[in-house]
Amino acid sequence: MTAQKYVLKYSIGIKYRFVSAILFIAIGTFFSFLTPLVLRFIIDSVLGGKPVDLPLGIHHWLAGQGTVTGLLHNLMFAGAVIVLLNLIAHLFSFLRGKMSAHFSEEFARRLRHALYDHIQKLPFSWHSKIQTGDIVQRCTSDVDTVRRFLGSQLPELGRGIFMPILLIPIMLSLSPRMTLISLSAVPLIFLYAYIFFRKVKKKFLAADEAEGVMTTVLDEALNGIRVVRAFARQDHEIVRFDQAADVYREKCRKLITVLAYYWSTSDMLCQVQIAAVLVFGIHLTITGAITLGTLLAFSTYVGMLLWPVREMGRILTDMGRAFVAMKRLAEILDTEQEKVEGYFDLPDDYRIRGKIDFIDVSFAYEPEHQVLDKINLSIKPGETIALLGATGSGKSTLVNLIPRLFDYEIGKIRIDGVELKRFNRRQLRRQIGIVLQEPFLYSRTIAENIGFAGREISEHKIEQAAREAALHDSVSEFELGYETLLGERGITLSGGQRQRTAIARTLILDPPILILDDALSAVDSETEHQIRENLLRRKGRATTIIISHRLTSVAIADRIVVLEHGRIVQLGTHEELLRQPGPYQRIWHIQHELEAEAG
Amino acid sequence: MNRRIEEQEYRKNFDLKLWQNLLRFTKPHRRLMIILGLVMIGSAGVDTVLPLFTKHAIDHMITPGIFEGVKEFAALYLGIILLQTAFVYLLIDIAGRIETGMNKDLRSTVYRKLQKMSFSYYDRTPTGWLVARLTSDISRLGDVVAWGIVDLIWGLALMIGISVVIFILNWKLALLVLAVIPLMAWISTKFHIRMLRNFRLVRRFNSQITHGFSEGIHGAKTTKTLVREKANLDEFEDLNRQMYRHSLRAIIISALFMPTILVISSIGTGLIIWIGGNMQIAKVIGYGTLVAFIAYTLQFFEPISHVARIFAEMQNAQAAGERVFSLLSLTPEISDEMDLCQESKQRRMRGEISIENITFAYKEGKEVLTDFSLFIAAGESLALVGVTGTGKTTLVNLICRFYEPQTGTIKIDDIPYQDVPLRWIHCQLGYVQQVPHLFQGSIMENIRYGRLDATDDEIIQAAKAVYADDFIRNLPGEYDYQVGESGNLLSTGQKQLIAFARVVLADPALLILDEATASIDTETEQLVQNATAKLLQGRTSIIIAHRLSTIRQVDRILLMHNGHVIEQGDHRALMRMRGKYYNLYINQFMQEIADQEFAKEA
Repeated sequence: MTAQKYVLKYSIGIKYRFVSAILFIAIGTFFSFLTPLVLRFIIDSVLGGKPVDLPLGIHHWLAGQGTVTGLLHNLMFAGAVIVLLNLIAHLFSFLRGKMSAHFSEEFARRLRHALYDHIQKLPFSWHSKIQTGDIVQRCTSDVDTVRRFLGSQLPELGRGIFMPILLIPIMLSLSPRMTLISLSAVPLIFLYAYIFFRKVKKKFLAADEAEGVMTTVLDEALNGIRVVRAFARQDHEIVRFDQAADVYREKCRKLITVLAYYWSTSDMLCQVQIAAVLVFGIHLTITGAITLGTLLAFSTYVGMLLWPVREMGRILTDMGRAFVAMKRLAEILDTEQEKVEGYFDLPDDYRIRGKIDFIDVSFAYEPEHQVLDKINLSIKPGETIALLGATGSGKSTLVNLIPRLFDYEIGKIRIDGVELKRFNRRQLRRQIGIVLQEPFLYSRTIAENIGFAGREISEHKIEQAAREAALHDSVSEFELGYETLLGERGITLSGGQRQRTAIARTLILDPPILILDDALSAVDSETEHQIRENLLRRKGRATTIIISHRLTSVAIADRIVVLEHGRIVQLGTHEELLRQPGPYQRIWHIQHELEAEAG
Repeated sequence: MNRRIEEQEYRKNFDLKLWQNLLRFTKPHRRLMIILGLVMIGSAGVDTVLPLFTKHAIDHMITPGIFEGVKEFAALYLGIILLQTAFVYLLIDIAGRIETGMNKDLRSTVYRKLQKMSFSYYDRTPTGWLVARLTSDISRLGDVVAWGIVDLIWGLALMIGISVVIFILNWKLALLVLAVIPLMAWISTKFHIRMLRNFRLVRRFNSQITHGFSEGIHGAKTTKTLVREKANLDEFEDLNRQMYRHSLRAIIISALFMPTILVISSIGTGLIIWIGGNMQIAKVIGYGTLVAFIAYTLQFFEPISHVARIFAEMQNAQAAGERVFSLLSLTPEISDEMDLCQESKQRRMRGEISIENITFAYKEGKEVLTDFSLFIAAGESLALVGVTGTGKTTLVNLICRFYEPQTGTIKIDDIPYQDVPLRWIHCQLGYVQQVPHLFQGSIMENIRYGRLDATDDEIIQAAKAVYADDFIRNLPGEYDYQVGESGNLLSTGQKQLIAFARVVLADPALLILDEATASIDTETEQLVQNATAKLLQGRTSIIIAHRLSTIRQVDRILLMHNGHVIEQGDHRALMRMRGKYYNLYINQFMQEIADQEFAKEA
């Protein structure tokens, strides 16, 4: 979809807010034009005693109401009319602000909601490619740019258009000659603003960039303070920062100088226009072509017209930014979501048996680079399988295919004899517990992190799961125990503690398929031993796949699979593999050699 | 908790001392500030007299119908416009100079201070917090001081100017105009304070939204495997709705501000028309005066609004100022009074380290090391082994004097190390972190960090010595390859090799090496091993060891547990003991053995 279509999509049901904001601008603007007319009437007809002459036939209407005479004899009433007109005009200008805020804020809320929802549902292959910072930046500042554009800049543009349309007829009816004089410099001022802000864009960018460089220098030096100190490079760093800060200052100063030049000259143009109205107006008033009141009305109108025109030049140059921002967001929203639906539905409380079959499965992230090559493997329900292999041999990829984090094209994977692609993706994932080497914990309490994936999980169950993952003792040492907050506003757990939290989080769900993807690498050996014992006690309850480098962990498996460059090179029980010449045997024997060496 | 602190800071009354402190930083710009003040007074003067032109034209040309003098009138008007143009140019340019200059000075000063602070300070203080002080807080201070002067002087001068003029024109009407001023001032101030508070609240929600997105994206894999999409979205939507509500309210309140002020100022206009109109009918005042009064009532709201905004922003800036100046008033915990003279710079450390009965705690009551002693001979290589949190890093930090022990002494080359310049120790030191820190820039620049006056050739030699040359040659641009922010475009192993080259170039007498735990691909792993062997030659080395190969190379291994050395000796001796080291070895290094064996197979 194009950016504009997305804008329309998220405005469904709230477009009237935008339309009414524009309408209120028109009404407010109209009433603000009436004040100078009333002043003109007071100056000319009430104080000056000239015949009543109001444009648009208003005086006929007023005369019909008998108001003219009332005004003539009661200046207090005239003053009140001025206040009343102002009240109406500004009431509408407030309502305009309120309506456009209701529109743009609701739009931004919907957009953020859609983005969050969409991003969660994008396939994992997308997530593994993107840069988080870039996407977060788009979801926040780009959304904000669009919001500001819709909420204030676009209505301002509306005002810039309405103003001349409403004002020019009024001005013409007062005096065509004065109208011409009043408008003579307006196009010039508009073009000047437009061209200037287009040209100065680069200077704004340069200043932003210089600030970015300065912040990076600062951030790196403070993060690397140990390196700075260890090499005693404080002076060097001070010079580096000073230079960056100096460049930033210089760029800002230059930008400000250019702005000073613009605002002063643009102000001058406006003032000259106002002066021209006054000087020519004096001339026309003295010759009797216009009245004093008309002159005063024109000098008010010209002031009213100039500022929005100047703003318009700026907004038009800014508009491009909003389009670019919306386009970048559309890029995210256009990416196709992961297909969830399957051929059938599993009942909520259904528990699969846990038989897994890989049949000729091959997989590549990039066409050139084969990661899995014709994998054939049959895992019985309740069996424990250990995966062994060097870094990059395809172990993680193999297990990531089971919950369909990546979609494979070649070969078949079946669970309980059913092809994976026939399952509803979420229902399938509910059957599989997977613990990652670097698990992600949410910025909330430990208890919530353990319990929040399940339904109605009691404190007792959380503690039990924590005990099984050998986490309970560590948690008890925290002042707040399970209520300890993690993450940005809380504490940071050690790598081992994080892994154990993730294990507890998975065990509590009691999944029929359990996958530990190097999930104990940061846990010390004694704790690992404890967890291993606990897992042994559960053996048979779930089909379990363990990826590990530690042979002690591997040895508890019913069968061991050795992977190499995406192929299964060895498969069998611990005893069988010990008898086969190969890496498994060698690794195992090193331990004995070590003992001999030590003895 | 943070939130409450911020609120308190905000409510604090005017802090005179803080502003005096801040004014110190305006000293280099005193002259500019005086000029700026004069320009502002001049500009306010022009704004004051402009309505008088209309008055003059009405009273002396239009009413009597005399056309004479219109040329002079136009010329004078144009002259005044040109004068104002010059004023506007000067005010923006000068205020810009003051703002940017002050920001720069403040940044440099605070940064210098930060470079003096000891590590314990950095342990307590998140980098992000410091960066925010040096960027946005300082920007706000410069902004308030420079543009605050502009608005304040202009606003006050214009208010005084208009008051004087209207009293001269007609004091009765003047009193009428001034009657609405207090109301306007009061409402303006209230509004500005309220608006600032609202927008601060919105900013806070905005950063939570940012965090929400960031968590949603970082945790994508976990969310998928736990099937938590729906719950996550609901939680995000809670936040999203709060953001919506607060943002909406903030905007609506600011949308109310200008209309309110303008309606109040129209009351002034109404009063002038009523009372002034009657005066005109009674011929007490002329048309011109009446028109001028109407213009003045419309003009009065602007300076009031500006001055009100300044007062509101000053409160806000005060909080920023407090945070910035709190950095300047810090005292470094390790002070280095001694200057590094040329002679001592040349003197090379032998590298004998003697630690005698030291005790150290980061936090009171939680001692990491107690009554700890250790002797390291010059040129010895030492490996520290043990689970995390047993004091290995602490020991290293103490030896480097990044921290100082609470009791006991550490002697380097038989001299207590407080008696030698801190810089001298650090000049003799080479330190490689687990995840080495690189700076944005080329590989060449990053290696040169080890010795700033090294030639390109020396740098390439250093890279060759640690076997980094090959992979560097394979990068686009070779030694000019840009490593990206914090070196993120390189792998951990590659970063490690660059950091090694940096150390070789520095040729330190004392080497500290914190080995990486993260797995490195086998090829690089081999390179890193060979490079490590090279590094250990010819200097005292202390290694927090995670690699089997390193442990086999060193002279002595210390197995640490809870701040004590529980086993020590060389690898064979320790294995023979069949104690804790033996167990650790069997468990901890299995991965490395496995990877090596698989590598052999391939």
